[in-house]
Amino acid sequence: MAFEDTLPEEEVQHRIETRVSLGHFMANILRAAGAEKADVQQSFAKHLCDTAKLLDGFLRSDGRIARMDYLPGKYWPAQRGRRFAFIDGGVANVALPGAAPLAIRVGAYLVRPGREGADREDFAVQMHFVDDLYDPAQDVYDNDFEDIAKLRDAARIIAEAGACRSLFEEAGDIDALLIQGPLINPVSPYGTPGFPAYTASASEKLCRQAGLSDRDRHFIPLYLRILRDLRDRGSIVAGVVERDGGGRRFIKNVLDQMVERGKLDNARRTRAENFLKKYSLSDTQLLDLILREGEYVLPLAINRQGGPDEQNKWPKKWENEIGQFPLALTTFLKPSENVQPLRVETFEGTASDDLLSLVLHTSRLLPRYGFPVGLDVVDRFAKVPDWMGRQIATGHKVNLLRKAFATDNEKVRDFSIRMLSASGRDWLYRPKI
Amino acid sequence: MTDWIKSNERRIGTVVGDASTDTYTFILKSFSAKLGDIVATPTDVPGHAGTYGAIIWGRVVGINRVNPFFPAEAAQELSEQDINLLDTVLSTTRDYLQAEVLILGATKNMDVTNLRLSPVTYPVKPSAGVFSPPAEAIRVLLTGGDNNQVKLRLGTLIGRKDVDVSLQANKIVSRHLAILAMTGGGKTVAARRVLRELTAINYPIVILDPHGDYLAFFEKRRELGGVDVKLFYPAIRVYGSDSGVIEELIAKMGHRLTDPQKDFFQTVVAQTNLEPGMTAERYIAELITTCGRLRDGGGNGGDRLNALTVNAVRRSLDFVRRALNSMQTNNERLMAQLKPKGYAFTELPDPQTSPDEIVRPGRISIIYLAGFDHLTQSAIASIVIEHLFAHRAKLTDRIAPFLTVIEEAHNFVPGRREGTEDTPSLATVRKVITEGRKFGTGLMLISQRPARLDETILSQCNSFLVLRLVNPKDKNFVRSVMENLSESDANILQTFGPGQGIVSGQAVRFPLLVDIDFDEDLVSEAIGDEDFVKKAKDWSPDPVREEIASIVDEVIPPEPPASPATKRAGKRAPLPDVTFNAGTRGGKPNGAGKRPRA
Ligand SMILES: Nc1ncnc2c1ncn2[C@@H]1O[C@H](COP(=O)(O)OP(=O)(O)OP(=O)(O)O)[C@@H](O)[C@H]1O
Ligand SMILES: [Mg+2]
Repeated sequence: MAFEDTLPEEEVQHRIETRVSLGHFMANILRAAGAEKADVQQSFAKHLCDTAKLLDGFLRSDGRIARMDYLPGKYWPAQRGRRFAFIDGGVANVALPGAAPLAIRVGAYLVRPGREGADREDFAVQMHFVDDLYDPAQDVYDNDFEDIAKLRDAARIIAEAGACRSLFEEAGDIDALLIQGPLINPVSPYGTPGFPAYTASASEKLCRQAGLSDRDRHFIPLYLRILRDLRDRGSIVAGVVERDGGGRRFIKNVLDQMVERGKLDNARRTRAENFLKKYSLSDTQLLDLILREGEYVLPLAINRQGGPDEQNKWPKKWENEIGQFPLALTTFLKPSENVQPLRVETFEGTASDDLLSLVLHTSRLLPRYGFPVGLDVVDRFAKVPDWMGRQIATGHKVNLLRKAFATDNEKVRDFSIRMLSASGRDWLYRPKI
Repeated sequence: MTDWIKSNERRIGTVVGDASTDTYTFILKSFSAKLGDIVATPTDVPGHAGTYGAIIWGRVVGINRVNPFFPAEAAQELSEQDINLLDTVLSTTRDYLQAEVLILGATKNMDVTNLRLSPVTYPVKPSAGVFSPPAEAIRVLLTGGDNNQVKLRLGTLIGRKDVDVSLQANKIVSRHLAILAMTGGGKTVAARRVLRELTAINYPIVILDPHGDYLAFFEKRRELGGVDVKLFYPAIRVYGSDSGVIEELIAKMGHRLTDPQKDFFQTVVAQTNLEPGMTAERYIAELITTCGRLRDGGGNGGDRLNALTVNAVRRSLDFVRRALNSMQTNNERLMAQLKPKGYAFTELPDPQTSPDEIVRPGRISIIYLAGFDHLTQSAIASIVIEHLFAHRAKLTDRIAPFLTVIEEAHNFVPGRREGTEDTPSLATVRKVITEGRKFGTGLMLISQRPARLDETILSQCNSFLVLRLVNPKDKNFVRSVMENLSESDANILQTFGPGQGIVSGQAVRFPLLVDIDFDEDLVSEAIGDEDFVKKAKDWSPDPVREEIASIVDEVIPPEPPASPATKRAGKRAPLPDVTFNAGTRGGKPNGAGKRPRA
């Protein structure tokens, strides 16, 4: 690890130009265009330059930017005999009349670089759930809930975490695991009143523990339990996030820390923050301006559940649990020049050059996409194929029809047939003459 | 007997994805099936009394290797950075084979002695096992367990030497067979195979052979079980009823005539005495005489004849006579070359009065057409086929049913696009092919340019044997004519090796990929492919001729080329061929050999 010199201005300008030409800042400019009278583009470009100068100055003079060398010819042979794992979840996208199917499978890809033969690679479905969220007799949740999308999200998040946990438990020799997406997710959205708990069987599948109380089977405590398990085992695991979710939580934390450590006074911090706020630029966008290929920001522990000012929004019922969630040790790493930095999250105490080097070297195998290739592989593996989606749909329709025919109610039967055989504009739906 | 449909050893894959009653896809275990293989999968079919077990049979028509886990970008980085794939985290093992199956039909599970295919009314089940049936099961399936039919063995299933493929004789001899392939695809070998099988049951065969591809039947008649092989050369003779064809031939071969000239030609024909059985050459000579007679006032037409008209017709007739003559000479020369090798040709008997000498059980009559141009070959074919067909159509039993083989069929039945719709044999063949099944006059059409064939005629063929085809035009044409050739089948045509093909139509129960047997014992030892490379290497100029040329040049030096000045003086420049031929004109080739050498 080496600390890097301040960026020359031309380099920043050049980078801004390429980003603008790639359309990266389109949305920000459009947002600003309404409010500002002067030549938006002109002032925007100037603003970006100034911002980069400011941030670059902050980060580099505080020694917060480091560099990882891309040396594939050395790196890969040195990995011989190690074992890496990649995890990703796939959700089937099925639209069905009168049903809310849930079909999730979490795939795992384990590989030993440098090995030949059958035990080089393992693919496994580490966790899977198939259910109908409308059905009162469910396998996954113990009750229904109006926000289906939330139920699906929660199920995917917890299934992925559960899969990581069980994978470490089963395969003892994993040197590092990468998971697609954040390692730790904000949980407040799933703490709204009425959000159902997982069934006993689903909970047991997720955290391998039987006999949990109703309360403990709720998403928040269950997810907390799984993450803690993972962390306490000392698992080397990193969440890799490619999508820029917006927000400046990371930079805000950097500034906070600088103030805390006496590197920055409060007044200037406020000025800087207001300046950064102007075009609603995100952490990824801002860091993209100043990071060079292979560079990353020194990791910082971030509370994904929100800072002190946000804690009042936590659902009261779960305040205690939410307060106990592990922090995400976060960094941004830019794998190659023309790719936005990846956000990498680990548990505190486990981040290492080794892990970042793995992220960098696997990402460089997809030079243009700039994302760890192992995650790309497992993504393809876990993705619920289209034909399977269709099959779930067909199977479901048949089931419904069977149920309908089992009733004595002729109207119900008629209606079911009409519903299932209807395409967008069907004569069946026309009013009877 | 049906245990194999459950046996793990025979399981080669699993059905995935959407299945219909026509096709399904399965994930194939490595190295366990190939393109063209017959596969089976068990299924439950709803019947009147609950469901019953059935086997759905299909043919593998496509195999794709998929490695969805290996991005192209990564491949590029590996090669640019010189990294070993195995050292990275990239996946190498997850490629899989996806096989596409065309469904042939279903059989009832229990019914193994009589595997009758019935249409599939219920799709296969995704997740069902796919099995490789044992040879015996396929054999029963291919024949429908029906052993009474006469079969013509063609070869074996591609990739399954243990399963024979045969054609139903009856469907070939009356319902016609087309053999289509690019040159070198194995058409002649395949035709020989089928014909050999037909001779084994003494079926009468007539072959129109423009290249002498079938002459080896004569050489190898002993190998063919002592079949009576006759080699005929065509004598173009005129009988009353075919004078029309001859007139047409003359009209087409000769110079283009103006309307008055055509009228005059008709008069000449009308005024010429035709002795049935006279050669075309003599007939034309007679016509020329008639021309002279009419010009000299011998005609009683009354009109004064224009001397130019008469001469034009005469010249045209003379041209035709010489053309026919030279073709006959070619034909004779080719036969003469074969004579020392034991080949004996006789003149083709009159198909009208002696058809039984051409068509006879246990006989192969080969009509050797080499040396003649397409038009004349077509006229000959037309006359022969017309007469033989007429004998069958009269239902008099003068001759037995027979099969006619037409090689280079595109020259005999060209499509409309070829601009040769007046080819004489076109109408004849059209008639034979539509009515042939009533009278037992089957055709075997062989062509390397299917797209040039007449579409309606080709579509009357009820069976097809298509070997290697590469030309997209030909492939599309074949697809448009053969109803049951799937797109994937059309796509594999170009991948066939010599002697591999698809056979489909009434002669088989369903389309099959076949490796045709190569009858090596029928390959002629006497006639081989000419080695032109060697011939060119061995060629040397005739020393005598060279010597004479030099003597002439010495004695009479060649004139220098005429200068432009002489031209301007109004004199005609000497024709170029005068100087060109100067060397040879003096020498008499026949006498030259006797001259003592210097
Ligand atoms: N069934 C076969 N098995 C093995 N080899 C074959 C087979 N059929 C053809 N061949 C090979 O291909 C060569 C060409 O075959 P054949 O003369 O039958 O082709 P063709 O289609 O009739 O060609 P052309 O259009 O030139 O007449 C044969 O000499 C032989 O070497
Ligand atoms: Mg041939």
